[in-house]
Amino acid sequence: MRIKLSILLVSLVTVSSISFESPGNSSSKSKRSIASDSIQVKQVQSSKSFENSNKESRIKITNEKYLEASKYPHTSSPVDHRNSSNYLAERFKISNSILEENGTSVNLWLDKKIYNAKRDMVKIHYSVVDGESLGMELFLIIKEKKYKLKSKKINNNSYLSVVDPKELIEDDYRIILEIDGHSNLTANFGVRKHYFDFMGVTKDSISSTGDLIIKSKVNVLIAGDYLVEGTLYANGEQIALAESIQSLNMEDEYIDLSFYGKIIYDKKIDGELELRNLSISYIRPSLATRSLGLIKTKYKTAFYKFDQFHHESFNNKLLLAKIRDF
Amino acid sequence: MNRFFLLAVTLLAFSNSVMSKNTCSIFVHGFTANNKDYFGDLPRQVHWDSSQNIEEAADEVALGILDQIDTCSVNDIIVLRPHSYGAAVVMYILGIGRRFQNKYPDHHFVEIYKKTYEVVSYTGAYHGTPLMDLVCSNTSTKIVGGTFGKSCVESLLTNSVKSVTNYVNNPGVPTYLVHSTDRSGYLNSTGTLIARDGVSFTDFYFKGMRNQNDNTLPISSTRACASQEVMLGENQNCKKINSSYFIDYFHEKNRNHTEFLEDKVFMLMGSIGED
Repeated sequence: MRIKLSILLVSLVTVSSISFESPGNSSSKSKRSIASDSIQVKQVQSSKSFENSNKESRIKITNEKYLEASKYPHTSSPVDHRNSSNYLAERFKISNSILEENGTSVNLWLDKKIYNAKRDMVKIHYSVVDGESLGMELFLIIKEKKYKLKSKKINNNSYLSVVDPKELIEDDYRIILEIDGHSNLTANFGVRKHYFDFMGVTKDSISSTGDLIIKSKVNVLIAGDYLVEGTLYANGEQIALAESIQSLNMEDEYIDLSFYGKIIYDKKIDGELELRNLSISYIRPSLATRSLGLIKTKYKTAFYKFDQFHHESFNNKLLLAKIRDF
Repeated sequence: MNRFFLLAVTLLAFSNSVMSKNTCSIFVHGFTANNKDYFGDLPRQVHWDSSQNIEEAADEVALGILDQIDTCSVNDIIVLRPHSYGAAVVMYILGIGRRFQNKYPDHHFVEIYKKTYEVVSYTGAYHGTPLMDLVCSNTSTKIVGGTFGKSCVESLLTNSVKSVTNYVNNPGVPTYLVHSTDRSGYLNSTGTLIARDGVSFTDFYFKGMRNQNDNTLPISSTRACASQEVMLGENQNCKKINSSYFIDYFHEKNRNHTEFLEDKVFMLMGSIGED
């Protein structure tokens, strides 16, 4: 027994000593040390502000982040509306591409980001303010090849080009507006097959565990795994996110979003809640999602009192296990 | 025998305690044609083909990260330190891993998500990634693309359809943002000329303003802003794509995007036992 314990002790001491060494071979370690020393002399002034002083506080912050996140399932979390935007709205927000030069302003934009090949037409707009549109050419890029698009003048300074997405395969595309051969504006869009018809948000309820469940109905045309995401508002402010992965068949299906009850309980919200913005994306075999557009819903729930929801911490074991004792 | 047992337990506790205080940093480079020299001789670098779009790149990067994790000690704290485009790829891996932790618990993205304690995300002085928009779309600027690589990498663009935030909004791992607003030396005058998207030409030309943010890299790695904003001042703030996990950490004002890559002290900031 003593021999075994001695072996154990030797092993422990060895493990302890290994832990002090950086992994890698010793020669590379010594090279690194020399290089590091010389750099440290040079960098000591500029690095002073982040060395050591941030170390402890950073670990404390990380642990606090994990502790807070562990109170909720990974599928539903609270949102600090003062510091976070509505990511679904941002994801699908139409953005303009603008070039201002020599007093002339050129603007390029599309009316959507994602087009349904069955229902939509791709509408590409550009405008020229205080300048001439001469020398401007619009191109659609397909597999790095440029195809010139025709556009028509719709008023004094605006132009429109329309592309039928039925002529395009399901993919993402780029539009380029070339200006006088030396400047470019670009915009991007996606063309998607017709995956489903959204029939509407149908019902809300409190689950037996005290979470808020919001149910929607879809007529599924392409079976597969889908990611459903939604944002919850109260009194005009975003309070929570929820997402779920659902396997849907080619038929009428109900999709659920579950907002963790503790979020609503802790905020002491009495009244109607609002599901604002819903996104249903197709999950590809690579696990990348294929965005299918934003469903702009403003569904109001029934009137609830905050104490109808539960206030139990989820105790996410994975996140709690990450918290380190320093 | 009891004394031996007590000593063994004490030593075990001591060794665990010591081991648990070491970080193990893994570096993931950005868009480059020369990945071997990207971080100089910093340890544990993941080398990958950055001319791939984010979905394809993620698989290769994930396997590289796991290989590097295997070289860390069991009780080490895993810290990922991506730079530039690497930061977007790391956010993608972690975000997908977080999302599918229950459905595909054995997926390599999930494994990385479970093992990673922190991310320190390094970016630099972006003139605005519209640089890549031009590289991809205009033959006259393709020569600039040759500076980085051969392919047109759409995930690097202002392309909001293919940006990382179109796939995930949340890495699920606290991500410390290190960014620079020094814009010197980045592609010299060519970079300066073509990097003005999002900022009016007069502001660009007369005031030297640059777009420090776009829908891809800066969102995930500069200041994690949810929408396009011009990032110039230290105190300038923005609404995050997800404030629960992104933390402004360090603002570099004196060195540009690539000047700190071989500075070990800088690149290992906040590490423990790795100096």
